[in-house]
Amino acid sequence: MLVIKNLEAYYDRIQALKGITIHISKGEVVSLIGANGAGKTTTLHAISGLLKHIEGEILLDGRSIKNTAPEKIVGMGIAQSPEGRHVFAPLDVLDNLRLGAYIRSDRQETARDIEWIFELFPRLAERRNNLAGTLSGGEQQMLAFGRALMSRPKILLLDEPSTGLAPLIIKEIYSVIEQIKRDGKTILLVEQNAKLALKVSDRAYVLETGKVVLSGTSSELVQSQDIQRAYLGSSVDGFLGK
Amino acid sequence: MGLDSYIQLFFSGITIGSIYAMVALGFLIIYSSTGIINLAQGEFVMLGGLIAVTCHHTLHFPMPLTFLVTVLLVTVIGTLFEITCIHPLKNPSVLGLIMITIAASILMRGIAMFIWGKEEHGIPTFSGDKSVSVIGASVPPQVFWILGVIFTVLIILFLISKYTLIGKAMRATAADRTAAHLVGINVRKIVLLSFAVSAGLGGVAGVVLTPMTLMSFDRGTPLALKGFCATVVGGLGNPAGTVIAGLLLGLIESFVTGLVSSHYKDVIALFILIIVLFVKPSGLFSKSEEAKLKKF
Repeated sequence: MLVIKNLEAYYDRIQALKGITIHISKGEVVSLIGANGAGKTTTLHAISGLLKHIEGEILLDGRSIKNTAPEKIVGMGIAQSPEGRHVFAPLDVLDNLRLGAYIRSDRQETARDIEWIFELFPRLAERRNNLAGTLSGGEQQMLAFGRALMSRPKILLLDEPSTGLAPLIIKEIYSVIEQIKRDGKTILLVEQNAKLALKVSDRAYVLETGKVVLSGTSSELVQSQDIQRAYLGSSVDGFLGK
Repeated sequence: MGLDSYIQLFFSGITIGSIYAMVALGFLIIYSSTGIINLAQGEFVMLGGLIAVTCHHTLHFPMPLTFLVTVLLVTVIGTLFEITCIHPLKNPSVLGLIMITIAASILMRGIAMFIWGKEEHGIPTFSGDKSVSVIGASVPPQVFWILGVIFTVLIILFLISKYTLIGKAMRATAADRTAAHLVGINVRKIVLLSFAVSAGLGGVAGVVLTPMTLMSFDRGTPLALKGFCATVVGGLGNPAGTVIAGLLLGLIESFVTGLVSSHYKDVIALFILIIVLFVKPSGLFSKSEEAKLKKF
């Protein structure tokens, strides 16, 4: 469905991605894991059309979407819930969700989808008329997530949905990821927390300084010595519940 | 001095203040969507006045048509300004863009002088010159036109930004450009729209003001200066605060002029600006945490 070949990206003169090749099939949950600065977020930004200087290929259903304006990419069915939440702080929760459906023109369907988001995240329903800027970090994350779902994307890009959140909130967010995965959504998940990411995803790529250093099914990667040492910590065996 | 003089000063203050508010709001709308302080904002008022003069005296349009055509033309000029001068730049710096707006303001003034000459022009008031008596003070009817038109425009603008999707998209873009891109808002279109609306506001201010004070090619710049003061005093980011700051500025200017001396008329706005920047640099109606995030 989404194929990325030899993707390179530059910030001014600094090369952030040095030839990344990944693919995501329909209905799959794929995660990108790796340390800070490995290029995970840059990859998502490149897919969403936010970067100007990129080389290589990005194909959605066989069509190149490189150098396409971000708003057109949303229209083609790729929505992103960005790192650091980026909610529209001076607008209320409802308006944030409505703007998530900005590219759609079916009002009634939109209203129904908002109710669906409220079922996924009951906390948001309680705070529907509050300004997004007044929400807690966890609620803002849920809102950014919900807002991305509102465009009914073919592929959902989730950037660091767990960063800076309390364990209970993380659990809530990941249970929603599980839920929409069961509904057959295609998801590209970026996570620093490899443990979480590997639990929920079918396959994963490990990024290091702008390159894919390892890839495979999540169950393979969980077993891998390298991953255990570098990303899961040494005491991982007990934790992953073997 | 009697009560009537105070009322007179109040009305003249609130009138000029509402013009400042319009200019200030024009600054704010463009700043919110682009980060640029558009220093050609005052020229839109000047063009509004002078185009209205041509529409009325040369083309003999009736007043309502003059109003519509003028506002439309100024809006088009504002849009063209964005398309020709702001958008084509690759990797623009905000400071560079501000320089361009200064150049544009000089250019517009020059062209206006070329077309309309250096003298002042006027158009008739909207409904005669017979003053209305308000608690003993006589107020020219044009004052009510200015206040009526401007507040109607402000209310319409408020309703649009609060309740329509495009208004929400404008606020969303001002709040977070990246997120606006990511939900599929065409940010380019929003920027264009903000230039159009700002120019339109200037145009409206120009048409309603000209019957009161006449208009000439060089009247835009002082208005831009006062409007800019109001924008900064209002805190660069809060539309209601900006309008209130504009009105306050007009009132203070009017009372100081009337009660102290008219020599200080043009100093007052800058004096207030300096005081506010010393005491509360984030502006009277803005939170200081917000201000830290701004480039200016």
